[in-house]
Amino acid sequence: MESAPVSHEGHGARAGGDASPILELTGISKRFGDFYANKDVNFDLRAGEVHCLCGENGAGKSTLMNMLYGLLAPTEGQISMDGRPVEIHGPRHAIDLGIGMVHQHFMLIPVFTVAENIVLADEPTVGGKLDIKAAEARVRELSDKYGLSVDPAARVQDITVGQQQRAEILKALYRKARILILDEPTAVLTPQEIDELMQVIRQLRSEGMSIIMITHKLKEVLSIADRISVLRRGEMVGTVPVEGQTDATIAQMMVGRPVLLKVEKSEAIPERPVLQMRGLCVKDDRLLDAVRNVSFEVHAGEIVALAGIDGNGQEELVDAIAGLRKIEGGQIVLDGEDITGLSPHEVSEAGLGHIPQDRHRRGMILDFDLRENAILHDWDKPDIVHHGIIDQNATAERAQMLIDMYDVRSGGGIKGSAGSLSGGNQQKLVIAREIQRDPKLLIAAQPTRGVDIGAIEFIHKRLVEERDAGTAVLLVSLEMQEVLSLADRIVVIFEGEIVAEFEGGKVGEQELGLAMIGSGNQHPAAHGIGGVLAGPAIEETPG
Amino acid sequence: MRHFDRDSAEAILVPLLAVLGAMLVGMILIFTITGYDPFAAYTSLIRGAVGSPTSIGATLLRSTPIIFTGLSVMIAFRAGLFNIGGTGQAVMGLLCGGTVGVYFHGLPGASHWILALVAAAIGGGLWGALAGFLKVARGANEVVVTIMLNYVAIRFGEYLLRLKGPLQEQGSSVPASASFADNARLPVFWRPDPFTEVNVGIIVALLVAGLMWFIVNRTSLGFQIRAVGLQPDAAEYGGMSVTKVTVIGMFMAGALSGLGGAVATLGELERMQKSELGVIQIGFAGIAVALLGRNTAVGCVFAGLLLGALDSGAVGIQKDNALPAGVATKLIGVIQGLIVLFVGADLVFRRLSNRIVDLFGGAEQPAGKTAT
Repeated sequence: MESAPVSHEGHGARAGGDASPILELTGISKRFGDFYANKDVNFDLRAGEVHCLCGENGAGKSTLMNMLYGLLAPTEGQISMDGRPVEIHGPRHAIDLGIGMVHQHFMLIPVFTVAENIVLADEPTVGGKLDIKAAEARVRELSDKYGLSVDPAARVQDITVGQQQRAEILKALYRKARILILDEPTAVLTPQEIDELMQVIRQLRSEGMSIIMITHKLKEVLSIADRISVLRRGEMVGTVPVEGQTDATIAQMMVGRPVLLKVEKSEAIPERPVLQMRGLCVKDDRLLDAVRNVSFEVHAGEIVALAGIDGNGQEELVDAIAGLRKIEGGQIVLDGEDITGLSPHEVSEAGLGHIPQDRHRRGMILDFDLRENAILHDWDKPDIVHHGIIDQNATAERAQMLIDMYDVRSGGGIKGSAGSLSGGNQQKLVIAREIQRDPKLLIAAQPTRGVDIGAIEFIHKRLVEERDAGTAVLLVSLEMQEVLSLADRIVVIFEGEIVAEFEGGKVGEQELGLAMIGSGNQHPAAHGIGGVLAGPAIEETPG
Repeated sequence: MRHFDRDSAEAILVPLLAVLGAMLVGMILIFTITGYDPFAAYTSLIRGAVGSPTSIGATLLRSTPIIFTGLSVMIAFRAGLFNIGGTGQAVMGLLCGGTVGVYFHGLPGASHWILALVAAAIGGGLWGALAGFLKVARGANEVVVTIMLNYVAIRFGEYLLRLKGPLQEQGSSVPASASFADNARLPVFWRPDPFTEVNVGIIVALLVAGLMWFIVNRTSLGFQIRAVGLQPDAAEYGGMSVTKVTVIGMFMAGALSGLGGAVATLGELERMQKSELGVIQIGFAGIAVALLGRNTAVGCVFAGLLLGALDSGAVGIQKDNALPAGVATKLIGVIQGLIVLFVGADLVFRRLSNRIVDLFGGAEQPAGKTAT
């Protein structure tokens, strides 16, 4: 390894110099039928660098990495390691060559301990018996060396997602990986866990590990990368050192045109209140109070953001509005109609469009094709179902309309399964379906989670368009940037209570951040929220 | 570009390979354990299954009830439920259908047996729905409940048909009901020989299988059943009632098994017999049929026909003395068990299936499945 990069404060001290690559991909193409997932891609990885691989969903990042990990064979091209050509026959072979991969979805067995998971398929044995003590000791040693702080004896199901991810990293280290591929490692993490992961990556780099990180989060790229490679539609746009790059330049490389990272929107013109909540109380799955005495309103023609750190009652609040969770106390009114305690179907009929937080669990049925997902709410609507029989043509037309209007890219068209779509395209499908239902209230719960930059821009635009069309939009987001750029009004939830309210555009990141961790001085009584609480009684609202 | 759909290839190849694998193991067993010629045994098996009009007729008769119970397990599975209660539901079905067959008089033509089948479907259906209801109302696991309801149904039937029981023929010394009315017996449409009478049960089974395909794939109800079965949270989000679908799904499953029980009884027997109740195996055979048929309606038809053919093939082996006495039925049991095992542990066969697809120049997975 060349000059050991000790400090990573400045970009200048990072790996570089005349480093010969330890890994080189030359002229790699991967063809599926007539479709090139990768075309003539060149890529190299230097020892001890963090090389971020960026690109929109479907740009071919995973295909490229899957070839590197031996899951796919290149149609053309050459992979070399340490200057020697290699052919990688499978993951096992890749591991033997020193390539480790941490997938976006972890490959861990929940009931096994961390150590058991790590040694799986490569167990240390004493006379045919698993020597778990030796395994744990070895894992602990590695964990300490790289500052991963994972307890080898803990069961995977009992540890946090961040720790699970580090267990995956340990698995690669245990198998003596020199090259670590991280596939969108931050997609599943909380902001704190992301910070911890960045620390871990820096530590790994300083120990000489070479890391390829697939991501499309620009902030992370800029903070961690030594070099950046961008793929677009299967082709390599270029590889650049991080110095001199900004989020705008990388975004432009990824999308192929200048991207608006800031949402363009006019002043909101709020009209009648559409969603009114008074004294709402909801319990979580463990029957603890998750939402306590929450009251606020969302008016037609405005975007209200419900901001907060994950797990402060947002999910329960949204579920309660949608009829998916029992309401313990209080009242919810949707455009003049009391929807407290109604079934999800009835709430949906009353005019709710709901982009759920977890599209894989709620928002779509992954084994259903796009047609079936397009009519997930419409199994009893007369335009789709006649005498109990689903109109296949109407369903196909609906699905086609949604994917055309929202540019949902599906390999199999409307007959493709939802599970085969990339995350961004799945989300676009959900959003398309919910917006096309022409809701009075649109709840967008983390609408851009795990979605690439081009799609984020698109989704934000659509939300603003919906607002301008007179829909009441409730945005639930953990991303402060998203809240700040989209919201006309911000309501902050902390431990199930509304602790602050701000005018959009009149609050800074710091002030909002403090309110989100519950230490803001914006007590409701001292701030504008009192006005909402004392607002017109729901009964008097013109319906 | 020629697309070889991996999934549909798998749907056909995996069960086929499982059957071939089981037959192969069966051959080895025959040779190593009995020392008989496995090829001769299998020749007899095939002759007994499809070698003559008589054997084809026997195969159809044996297949009919298990197609119904296979469909029963299938529809429950589609709704995310495991129905082990086919036997009990079949018993309730045959009791209801049989009662209509015995005690209703003067119904003209086909209306009597059709009414008897409708009664069987309702009886079995309610028995199935009971398990569904207990699940949604009390959280009782349907696997446990349906197994226990099997015993309840059998004992209930034995009570009804025991000597001096409510349904037992008065004055008779046999624990059985009076004879079915002629119109209540399923009409025979084919007599390959004087002793083999193929009744309309198989036609009803095919029609019902077609109906099931239609319900599952084309109706709002089927849409809801599949949604609930695949992702209950998403179904709930889509406004569906998981509770309702669970009860309806179990009703349909029970109705199908009930039909299976009634078709076997009204088709092949003169009367309801107490001795028949304890030996009903069609509920469990239905699990094998649904598994082998990969939980599709069409698959259940083919799987039912195949397992039925193996059953009548066992008779063929016995007739030809191709195996020691009593071994044939046991061997077929082993083969059927192995088929289920192989279908259940289908990873090996999936790999094999993929190889075969590759061999025939199948396209690779579409890019959408692998791209970022």
